[in-house]
Amino acid sequence: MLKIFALIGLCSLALLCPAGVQTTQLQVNDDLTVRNLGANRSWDSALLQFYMTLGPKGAATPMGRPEISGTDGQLKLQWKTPEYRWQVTLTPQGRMIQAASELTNLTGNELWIEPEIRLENVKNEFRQFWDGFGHMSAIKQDILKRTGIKGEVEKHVGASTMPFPVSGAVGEKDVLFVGGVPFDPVSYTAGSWDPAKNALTYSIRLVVAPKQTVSFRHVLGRAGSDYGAQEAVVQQYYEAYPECWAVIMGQDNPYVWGAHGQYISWWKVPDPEVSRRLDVTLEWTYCPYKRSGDMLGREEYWDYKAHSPFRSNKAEIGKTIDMGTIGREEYNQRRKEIFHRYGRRYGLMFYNTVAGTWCELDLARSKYPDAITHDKDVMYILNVWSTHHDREIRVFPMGTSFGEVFESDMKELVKELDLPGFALDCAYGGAFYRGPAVEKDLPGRAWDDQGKFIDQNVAINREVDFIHNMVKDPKRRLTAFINGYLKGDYVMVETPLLNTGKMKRWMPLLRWYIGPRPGCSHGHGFLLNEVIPDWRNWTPEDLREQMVKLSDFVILNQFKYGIGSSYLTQYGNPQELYALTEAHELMRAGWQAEIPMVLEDGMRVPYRARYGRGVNTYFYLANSGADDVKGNVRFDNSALDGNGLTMLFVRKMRDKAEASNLLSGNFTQLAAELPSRVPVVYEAVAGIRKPAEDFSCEVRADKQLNEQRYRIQFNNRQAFSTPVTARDIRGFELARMTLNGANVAPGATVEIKPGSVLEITYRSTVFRNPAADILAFPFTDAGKQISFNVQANTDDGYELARRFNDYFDFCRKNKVIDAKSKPVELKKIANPTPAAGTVTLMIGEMTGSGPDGVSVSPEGGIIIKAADAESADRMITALFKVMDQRYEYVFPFSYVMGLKPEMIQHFQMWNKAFPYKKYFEVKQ
Amino acid sequence: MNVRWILLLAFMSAGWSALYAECRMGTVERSGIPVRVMENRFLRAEVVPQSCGAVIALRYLPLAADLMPPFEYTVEKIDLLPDQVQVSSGGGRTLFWGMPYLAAQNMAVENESAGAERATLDLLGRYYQGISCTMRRQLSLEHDASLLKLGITLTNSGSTPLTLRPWDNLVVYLNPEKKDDILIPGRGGTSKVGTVGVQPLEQDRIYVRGISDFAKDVRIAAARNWVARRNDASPLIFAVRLTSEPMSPDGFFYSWGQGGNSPLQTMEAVLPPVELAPGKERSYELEYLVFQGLKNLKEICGDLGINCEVQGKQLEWQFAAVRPFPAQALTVYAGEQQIGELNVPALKTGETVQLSMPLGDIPSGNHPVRGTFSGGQTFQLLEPMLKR
Repeated sequence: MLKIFALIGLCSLALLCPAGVQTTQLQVNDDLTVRNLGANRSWDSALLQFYMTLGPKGAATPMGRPEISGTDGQLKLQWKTPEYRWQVTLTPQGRMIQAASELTNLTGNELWIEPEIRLENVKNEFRQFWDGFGHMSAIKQDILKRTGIKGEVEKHVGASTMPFPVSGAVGEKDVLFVGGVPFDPVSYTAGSWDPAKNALTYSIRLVVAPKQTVSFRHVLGRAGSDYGAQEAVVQQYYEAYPECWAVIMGQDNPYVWGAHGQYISWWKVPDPEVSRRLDVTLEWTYCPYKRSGDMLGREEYWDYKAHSPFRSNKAEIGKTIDMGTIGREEYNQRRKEIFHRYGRRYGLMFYNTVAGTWCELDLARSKYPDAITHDKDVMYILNVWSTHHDREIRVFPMGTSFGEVFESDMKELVKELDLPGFALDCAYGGAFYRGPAVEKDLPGRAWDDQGKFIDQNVAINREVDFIHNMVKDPKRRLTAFINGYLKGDYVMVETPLLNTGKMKRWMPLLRWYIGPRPGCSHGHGFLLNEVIPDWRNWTPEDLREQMVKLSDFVILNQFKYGIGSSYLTQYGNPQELYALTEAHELMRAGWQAEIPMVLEDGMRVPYRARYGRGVNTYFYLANSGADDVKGNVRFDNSALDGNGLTMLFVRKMRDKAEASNLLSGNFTQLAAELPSRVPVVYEAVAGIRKPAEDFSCEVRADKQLNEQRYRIQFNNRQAFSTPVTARDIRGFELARMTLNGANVAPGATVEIKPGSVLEITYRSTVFRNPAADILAFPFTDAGKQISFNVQANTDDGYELARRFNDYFDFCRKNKVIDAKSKPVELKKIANPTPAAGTVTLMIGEMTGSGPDGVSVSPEGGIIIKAADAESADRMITALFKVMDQRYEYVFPFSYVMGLKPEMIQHFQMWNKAFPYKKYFEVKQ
Repeated sequence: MNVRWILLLAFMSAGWSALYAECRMGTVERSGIPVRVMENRFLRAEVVPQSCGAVIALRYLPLAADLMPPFEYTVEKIDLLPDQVQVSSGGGRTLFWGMPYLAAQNMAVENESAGAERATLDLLGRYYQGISCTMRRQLSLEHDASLLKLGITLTNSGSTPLTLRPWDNLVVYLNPEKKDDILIPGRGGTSKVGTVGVQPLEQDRIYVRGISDFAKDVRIAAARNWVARRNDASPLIFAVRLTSEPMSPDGFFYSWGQGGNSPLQTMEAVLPPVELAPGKERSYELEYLVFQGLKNLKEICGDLGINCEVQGKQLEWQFAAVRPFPAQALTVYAGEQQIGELNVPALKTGETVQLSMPLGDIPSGNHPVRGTFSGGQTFQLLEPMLKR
């Protein structure tokens, strides 16, 4: 009995005593020692300490031993001083450990604090220090440190780059890091490595009001540096804090998973078929107002003296507007009509006066003087800026009189114009606001020797949250299209991919911030004058050859960075549009920082990227050289998935592919063939728990419009048991999985005997038939005349049916069908009967008419059946993409920014296009 | 006399000429590419044919003062792209306002010569800045002159009319540590030059773009043909002057400054636009002038830089020469009324003289200071304005 009591007592003690916090990478014990759990180590252990600096005259002082409590898996540390109470909770966060703080000011005075996380006495072989920017510094004798968040000033945006919130000490084998959390409301951070003390630090400055409690977060972690130290750390952030890079409405966001229009839907009247064929899903509606800072166009602000002459030729939706003479009512009424008519259909993101950070100077000085950001280190006044006619001054859109009006204006605009979202230009930090609003209890207040301030990044990130929360309807949430590196749903990189100088300066830091979010490049397309200044001295033949190379350069970089290109380079280059499907599909999967790929010695593969994680992983490789490259490529599964799965890959093709996978240790090895200038993508098709034995398996993919089948034959010699994890395919559902012909439940553990065959079949959620069946439908007859009609059962359906005329109007105009072909006949019939030569649109809940989707009826008609008009709309878009195979249109070269008519004339390609290869299809 | 002797004499003759030639011309390598060097006793200018014929270094030799940021020229080789050239933005080059600019355009060296009187470099660029325009750019350095001349001839080589607004894009500094003040003689009463908006000034005056001018850039309608810079940490004043035609009313000055502690603040003359019919040409001339010893610059008259300030009842004058200046009498007027006369002594290049003159009686009202040299040259200062 005594023994039992003793045992119970010991167990209770074990439960009460803190045990420590652990991830796969490192462990923090209750004595605050940190142990490296990695197999390959450049450091072994460290001591976790917390320091505090009070005010500009204070010095960093160790907090000493805290009160420690906690249960298994977390530790709570607490200190109390006369000034404050500080509690830190250590918990695992992905592969790193989060130190979440709550600090309460116990005094009646404002506290200026700089809490710091510090790893001391690190036994190490570190070689470099990473301060959060794109570069690293060699460790020598001196302390290496970064103070503050201002990086390089960017001329165009007039603000600066910002470090990734990390301090890292990097060795050959791994990296130890401390840091913060991206997009947290922070205006000042610092980090250092002290080689004398072997101490790594990261601190945050905050201002705490009397009796106020503030929350802030630090992290600490360890990452292997096999595939790049910085990349490994950034990758851990993506996994630990996916919410930082989550897109509003996720995969169902109708705007962010395609290309941006680069004004094709703003300067001109949007064309539904041009947009669809270019996969344009959103637009940057530059300055849809007259005066900077007054988005509403208030009567009292309308007539004013601008610094420069008003723009007399501003293009908006096909009309040239003289901003100096147009009346307020006329402008605002037209704007209302534009956004109601085109806003949601074309994703017109309302440009909100440079993210609310610039305002016409007289307006700012007279109405919002408290909002002016008097930071002279960055651009402060711009004589020519967003509207082109205003003199603008930097303002702060949070907690100020301007911020109040700005938010209220955005609300009003959403109500009045039914906006899909906002376009936030220059979403950068690096401009410090020190005006009267810093006295308010606002997030992100920091301090330095000049006093209190808040960085612009805090206000813009909060603005994005505000935009996201403005509309609660889950299907109509507002999207934030940002130009910069802060929060948002779709990120513009404001330079063409061909601007190698800017790309080199901005990457990889900007790319790390964009993370798995979708985005685009924006600029003057080919920049031909800059890229080939002496193009006139080139022969047309040489220039044509070079133009194809430039287009391939765009394609290869688009896959590398996961950011889209636009029609500026696509016109005349159908190869780019051909590759866009895969590029956008990968963008959806989410770009990743770390590429755990090992190439066989001698392989030259300048372009590599990784998208998605775990069983939804894609690897991209491309050889930009003149000759094909062959060799073995190994993918490190241990870095792809935290659950010990081994992934099976096949080349991503549209129709079929085969690959022999050698499963060796943690790696999956494939024999890669990389043709010159072709993007090659490998997609994971399933994950298994591999046994100790190394073996190969043959993976085969067969894809049709309505069905995808994956066949895996295992060449193991010893049977083993494993769960089988199938991947997700957008637009498809897992129909069945069989092992040697017997059904297997997803996730179930199965026994893989030597020679087993696993088959995974997916069924399309949209299409019920193969493409050939749809393409055989008589949309047109032998004379290329329209030979079908559309019947719809509802008014919504009838409206949607008009899209078929949009489709064939485009074809007619571009001579894809006969120029004299009549329009498609549209009918509204309450209870339509599917018939041959008829497209039947059935919208609504109907019983007994089969599942929703697009199908070919036994009579030879096409049926589009959907629960609601939005779903039907998406199905029609999907159907049109299939029809494009029959009604192909190649956009020829024409005048676009970066490619003038005389250039196209010079290489003799006016109204012509280069040929293209269907390199994602076996049957080319 | 055998061939060896002939060669030796020729070599000695060439060496002798080079030794005593007032102006020299040579080639050196900068950032991996050939650069032409033109030099006299006062200036050494380096010109890069491969970068639009830009002047990428200018040294004022008496003080060994470098007036342009270091030049960098890099060539990057990237698969699928032609060689990518990056050129640093320092120095002076000709661009066209409103058109994208190309900094790395190659110009052919048509002629280069150096002798006792001058060093001259003639460059030719076809399709200059990527348009149907041929540019001839002649740079010359005269002996005993602290100025570099630039002669530009633009020819429309296309079949359609061209409207061009030549722009002397100029990134210089007097002191690499401290931002210069830019002195811009501005025309008042206008907010527009052609279609370009400019900073409105109430009246004609010298607009000083100093360290406290936080606007990223400024455009000012031109009231004079020159724009200059000063720095209290330098004894030099640097000016650019259009000598071939008036800047006003269709030209303007532009200045762009990098934020923070950067010393970069440009001074750029954007010339009046011109329509060039196919095959037609336009020529103009500019000068880069370096004055030593002036505290400030109020006007440039011929080869003299002039500073003038009212101190109590005196007019304090400074005259600095960029070429030798013969002694001349200067008659000074307040508006139309003569208020005094000065004897300006002969000045050597690089010399400055300071002279005082009692103000005497000034008619009522505001009057500009005007002057007439006995040699016939006249000027009217934008400031100071004499008041009574």
